[in-house]
Amino acid sequence: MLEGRNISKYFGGLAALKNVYFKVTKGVIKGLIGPNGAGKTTLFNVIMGVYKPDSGVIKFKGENIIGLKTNQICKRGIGRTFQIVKPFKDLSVWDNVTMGVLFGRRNPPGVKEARDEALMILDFMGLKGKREVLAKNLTLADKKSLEIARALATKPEILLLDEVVAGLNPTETINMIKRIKRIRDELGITILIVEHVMRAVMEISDEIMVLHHGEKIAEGEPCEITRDERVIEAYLGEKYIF
Amino acid sequence: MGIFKGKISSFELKTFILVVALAYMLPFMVGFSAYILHVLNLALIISVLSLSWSILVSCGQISFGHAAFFGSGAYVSALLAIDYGVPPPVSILISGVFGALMGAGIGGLCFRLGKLTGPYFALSMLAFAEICRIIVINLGPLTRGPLGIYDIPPFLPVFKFWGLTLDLYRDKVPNYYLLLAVLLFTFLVVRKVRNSRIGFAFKCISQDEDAAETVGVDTFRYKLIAITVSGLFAAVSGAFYAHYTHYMEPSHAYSVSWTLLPVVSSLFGGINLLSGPIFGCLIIWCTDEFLFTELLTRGHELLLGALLVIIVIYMPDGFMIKVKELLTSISKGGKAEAVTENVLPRGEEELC
Repeated sequence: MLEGRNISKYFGGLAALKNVYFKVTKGVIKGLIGPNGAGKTTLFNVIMGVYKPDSGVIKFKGENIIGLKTNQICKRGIGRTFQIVKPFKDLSVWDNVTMGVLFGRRNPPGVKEARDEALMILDFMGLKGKREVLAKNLTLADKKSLEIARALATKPEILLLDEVVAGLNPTETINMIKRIKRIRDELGITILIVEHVMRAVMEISDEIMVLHHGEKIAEGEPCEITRDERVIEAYLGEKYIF
Repeated sequence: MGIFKGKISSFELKTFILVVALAYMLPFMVGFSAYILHVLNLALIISVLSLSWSILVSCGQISFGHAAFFGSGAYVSALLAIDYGVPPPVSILISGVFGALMGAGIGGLCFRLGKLTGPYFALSMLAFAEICRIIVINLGPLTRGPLGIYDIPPFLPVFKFWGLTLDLYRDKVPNYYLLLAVLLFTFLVVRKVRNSRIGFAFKCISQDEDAAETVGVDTFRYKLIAITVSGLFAAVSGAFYAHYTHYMEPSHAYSVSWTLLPVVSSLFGGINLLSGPIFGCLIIWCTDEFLFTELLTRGHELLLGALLVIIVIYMPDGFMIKVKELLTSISKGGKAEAVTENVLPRGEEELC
């Protein structure tokens, strides 16, 4: 469904991504992990058209999406959340999501229908009771849920989640994991998720891909990844390899 | 209710009608004093300018160069009327189109080529206004250079019907009604824009541009729309100014005042309310003219500055917010607190 080949992105002399190949098949939850600075968020930004890669192609449903603007990519069906949450902070939760419905689709509905639809999405994400609260007054967990709700409002076929569990307490983490699974199972949306919380990412991912210094060092099922020597080296340092 | 509130409440409509009625009766109340009406007329023109500036602000872009549109609008309309004999109503429209094109041009440069945001955009606009002034000074054969333009005709020529004389040259009263109509029209257009899809997109962009782009808002396109519409009305206000004062020269047309007055008015009245820039401008202008100048002929700006400081410290959202709170509390009969808390901070869609 989403496939990238030979993607490289340099910031000056620093290679943020080096010849990365990735493929996300329809209906899976794919984890993307790696130490800080590995290039995970850069990859998201390249997919969303925020950065233009120095080389490589990204195909979404068979069409090259490199060179498109972020808003066009959104309308084609890729939704994204931010690692550092970026809600429309002076708007209510409901308005935030309605904006997604109004602008994120190719054939947007009228304002009234958009509001009704936004309400359904808020219900799904467990934010219905807080719909009139201004986004800036939400807790972090709710802000992250709102980010996902707003992305869902654009009717994506694939959702890129950037550290949605980071910073949440154990209960909130469990709820979030459940929600992400429901997004895939009930809405049929493919998910590519960047996450540092290993417990979460191991639990929900069908496949995991590991980036280190901009290069892909491993890919496979969660249980394989935990045993991969290069992954352990990248995370813990060489001396832990026995 | 949020910002997608559809219809205006009957209370807002009543307030609106009351304000307009009061405005129409004002000349009678001040006894047709030419001096007072002249001050009011200038205030009305600057209100239109402030309103045009606030369109761009509602899209999150702060411009320090609206003098560029104002001055160019004034020049285009005046030159067309004098040198080419275009009737002022038409030349004003043309100057509006010219302002819109200027807006689109500088917007395209700043937002697409330069990808300028925040202070960089504001300062580029400041430079843009200065460039316009220098061009006008140096295009002597076309613009008459620093000499300026004299005898710019009024909006309509003097004519008589049924024994009544309509003299827009000297008489302040018809000018007052004309400018009031212009302000009202601008207000309704801006309100319509703000409550449409375009306005919602502006709102998203002003909140967070990256997030707006990610949910599918074409930020470049909407910012371009904002600066185009803003340029249009700013140029029109400049054109009306030229035809009202009958004289124009480069340093005055592109004076920093035309850039600062909208900023000050909007701060004073409140940026988030549509009526903020209008009443902010009217009150600042009139207080300065009728009160501070009387008290302190030299250095009355000092008092104005002090007033502004007080407003910014004690009413950072502008004094119109306070007025609105008061009105709402009167209309709801004491149950105001819950209402004000919810509705006011997002009052963009409100009528008054």
